[in-house]
Amino acid sequence: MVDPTVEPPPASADRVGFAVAFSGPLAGTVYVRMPEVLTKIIAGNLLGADEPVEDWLARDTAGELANVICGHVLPTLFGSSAVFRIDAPRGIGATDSLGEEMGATALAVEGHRVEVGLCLLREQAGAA
Amino acid sequence: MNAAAPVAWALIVDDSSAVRMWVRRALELAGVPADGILTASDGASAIGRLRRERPPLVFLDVNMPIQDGLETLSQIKKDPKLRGAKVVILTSDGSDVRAAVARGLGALVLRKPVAPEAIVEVARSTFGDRLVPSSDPAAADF
Repeated sequence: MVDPTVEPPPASADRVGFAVAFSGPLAGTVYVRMPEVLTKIIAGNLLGADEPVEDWLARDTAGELANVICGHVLPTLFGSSAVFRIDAPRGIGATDSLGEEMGATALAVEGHRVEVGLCLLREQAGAA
Repeated sequence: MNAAAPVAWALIVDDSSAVRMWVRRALELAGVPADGILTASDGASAIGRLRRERPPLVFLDVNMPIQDGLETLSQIKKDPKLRGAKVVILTSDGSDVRAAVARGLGALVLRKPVAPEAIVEVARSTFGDRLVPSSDPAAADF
């Protein structure tokens, strides 16, 4: 559960990232980073799983979460009449370059740090 | 089960395994038999399954590889043998334009994240008393 009143803990070493690229009126990426253990907690909660969730399924769930966040961020920023092409989520590394970061935030979710950010392609970032 | 109950009840089309599993679980809690729930990970294979097995209910993602959900919905509604299926678009895409297109083609649009109650309600409105009460304790929540 997200608690906006709780200060997010520091980033952990085992965090994983997922990015969803979009293109349309502007092009860029929405990304989500979180500890790997949280991907399993979220997947377990979502699927009502009694057994520990396998890694691939936890990552698939986290990728879908990134997809949902992207789908909500774009109309919030650019209006619901804007039409974007949204790519499938992909895993990203800690140092992957995603473009010019336009905004990011950190949340505490189930006691873990989750980072969410929006990057635009460098050639479009100045115009945004 | 009522003799008129379908063999294939529902098709879930989404490129995310997690979403397919989540919708499946909600349908099972609603009382849809597990072996009547089909899945596909893209629109093209969904059309193949629909033509072969004719489930009356289809849950369709929009952003998918090979063939997206709106193209698949359009194909369903153009095919006289498939157009009677109830199609529910499950999408994270917040575009009003795509939602309007989907509604114009006769689909119900549910925006992710979707509450399981919404899936259960769709199952109830589609199948009514043909649903088989689930023994899963979680079904009591609905």
